[in-house]
Amino acid sequence: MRDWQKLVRERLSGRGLAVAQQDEVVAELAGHLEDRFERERALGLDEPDAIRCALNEVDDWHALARRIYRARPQEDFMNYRTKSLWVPALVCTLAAMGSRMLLVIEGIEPRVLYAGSKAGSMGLEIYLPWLVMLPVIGALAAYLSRRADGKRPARIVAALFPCLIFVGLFLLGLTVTIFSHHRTPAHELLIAFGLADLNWIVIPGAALFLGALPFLRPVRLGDARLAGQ
Amino acid sequence: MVKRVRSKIARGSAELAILSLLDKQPLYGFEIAKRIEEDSGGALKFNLASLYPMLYELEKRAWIKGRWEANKAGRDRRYYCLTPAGKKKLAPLRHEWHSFFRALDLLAGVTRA
Repeated sequence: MRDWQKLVRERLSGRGLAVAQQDEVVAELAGHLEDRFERERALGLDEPDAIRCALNEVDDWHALARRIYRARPQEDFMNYRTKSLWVPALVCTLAAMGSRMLLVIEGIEPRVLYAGSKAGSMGLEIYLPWLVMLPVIGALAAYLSRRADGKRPARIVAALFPCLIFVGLFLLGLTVTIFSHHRTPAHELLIAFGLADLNWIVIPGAALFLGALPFLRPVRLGDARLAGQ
Repeated sequence: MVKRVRSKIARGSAELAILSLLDKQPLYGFEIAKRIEEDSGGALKFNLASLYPMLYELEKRAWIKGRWEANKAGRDRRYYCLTPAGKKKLAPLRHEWHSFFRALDLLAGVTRA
């Protein structure tokens, strides 16, 4: 299958559009070329001819990039990824961590389901008040991303961002622990990290994703029309 | 001079065609090009290079608004719909073009040709 995004990106790169400006335009133009290619294929053209037809949509990529650069609202363009991904992700992370800290400060403890094999080791906890809050936070992140015209992957990443941070931290922690705790049996390390993953990644991630779900579904065209009015 | 007038006419007609289509329903770029070609009996054609700068220009003026949604095939496409400002602009644009064609008809008998 042809990578139309790569093709468009190559042709637009170095033509006056900033890298941050390109993402959305590349996705949109690649979609157009893909649709054109598939229409020609459906009409019976063989693949090379269909590709040629699609590429004939643009005579001069340099001129096209210039016209797009002039036509796009520059400020929005520069901030697209920030608005659709980084801001919702930051809001989600701060809200998730902040709410957990508040609960701890208020003295609300998680319910321990499994205390671990020995004292001080990692157990399996269910922090119910926090888990109740997380779907709302996940929904907020996905909503903010959708409002900024974020695509579905951006909405998902924004909603799951706190968990993704923990994935990174745990991988780093696991690597450090493997090299620094030579005497700890491997299976104990794996159980500890497995439980930590459940406590901080899997269960909270599921709660965040649950909240984000309504904002991931494709909006009916009627809704899109109403939203624009 | 003639070239500039032609270019203005082409641009103005393209704006009217896009806004009129989007007044009926939200569409994404490829659909817009396809519908313009089909509905005009092939007289008007847009390719990628002529369509998207126009769409971005209209979006910058806040006459239309784009939003990523999945199409029938489940692929993300940027659907454009008319904004309230675009709706307001459409009626005067139609009126301008109506007047333009009537004047041209009086001068050149276009409809009798």
